[in-house]
Amino acid sequence: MTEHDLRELLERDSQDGPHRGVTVADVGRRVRRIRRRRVQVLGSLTAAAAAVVMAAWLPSAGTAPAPAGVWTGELAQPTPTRTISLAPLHSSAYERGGTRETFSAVWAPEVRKVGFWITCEPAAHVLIWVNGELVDNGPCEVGPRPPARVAGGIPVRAGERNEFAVALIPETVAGATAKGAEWAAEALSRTAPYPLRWRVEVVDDSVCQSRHVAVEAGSGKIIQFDCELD
Amino acid sequence: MRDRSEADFERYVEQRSARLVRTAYLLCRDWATAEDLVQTALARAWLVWRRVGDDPDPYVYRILTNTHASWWRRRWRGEVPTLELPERATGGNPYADLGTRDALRAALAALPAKQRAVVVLRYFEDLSDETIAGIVGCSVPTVRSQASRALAKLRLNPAAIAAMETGSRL
Repeated sequence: MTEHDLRELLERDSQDGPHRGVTVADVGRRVRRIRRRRVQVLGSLTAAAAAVVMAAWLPSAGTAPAPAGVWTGELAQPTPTRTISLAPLHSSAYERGGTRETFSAVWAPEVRKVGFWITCEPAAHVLIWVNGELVDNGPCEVGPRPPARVAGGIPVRAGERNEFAVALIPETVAGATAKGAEWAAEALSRTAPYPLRWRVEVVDDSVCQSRHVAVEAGSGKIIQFDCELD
Repeated sequence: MRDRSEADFERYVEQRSARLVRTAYLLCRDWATAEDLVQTALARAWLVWRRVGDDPDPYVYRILTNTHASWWRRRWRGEVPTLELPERATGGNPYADLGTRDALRAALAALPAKQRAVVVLRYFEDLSDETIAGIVGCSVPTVRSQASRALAKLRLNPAAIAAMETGSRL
């Protein structure tokens, strides 16, 4: 077969098709379809970006000292770090405030400290107990991320059953000043149950020097939790 | 008053679409898919028409070949394997029951996608090797080696040999 034969074959082979050609109207329809698709993709990317951007909105890494037990959200590192991705140890969603919601779990002996990510509403005040002891107590924080209460480095009994309790009460009941365990119990007893959507996620915070969290926009579900070891 | 670029684009579609469909057909061997490919290529060209320049052909051909390659890959990945091979209607020479032209079409279709694109752009569109290199995304020597490999394969192909033996000139 020569090059000439090949040219002839291609010429003849593409001559006798049943094609009607392509019109400007056909192309116009395709342009609209491509644009629609791009808009959809952009929408999905925006949602994904919203989720990931929240990771950078962990409690501020500014110059002010972070309160004890609160994640610092330090993301920048001067040297390369080793990072592991961990699945949440526990997650549950609730639809009422003013009640003490409890759960318990036995985790691997390596789990010595846990972190809480509680997605809540700005007008709420969060109370967290571990094995009967009030370990965190503060407002649902409003920041650049969706409102949440984040508490990390909370010790648990390694390899044993741990009892957890979380309650949300109205900020108006809690007031501005932080108070102790007795006050928390008393404030909760004064609060009647009321409709409130919130979610609690518990992560293994035993070895993390800093954390990178991606939270699903809307639900508050953790979709990725990266723990930096160095 | 209509935008001048819109009028240019419409003129380009009217003048070039028939030829583009033939090129697309030679790439994919199916007329419906060929029209689909050309619609996609022209639609994408329209979205950047102002940046395409005075000669839109290389850009349109590039989208055409890239889109064809991506569709081909997608279809390949989507294949469902079966446990048993279908029974062959004929044994021996698979080209025996085909006409010479059909057999040669099959031989062309059997070329790898990149080689087929080079063959079509070189021997059907008569584009220079430099232009083909820009469209396919490789160097000029690669275009030449792909073309000569494709020709060598066709020369060894039973259908091509049969065509030469019977003196058929396609």
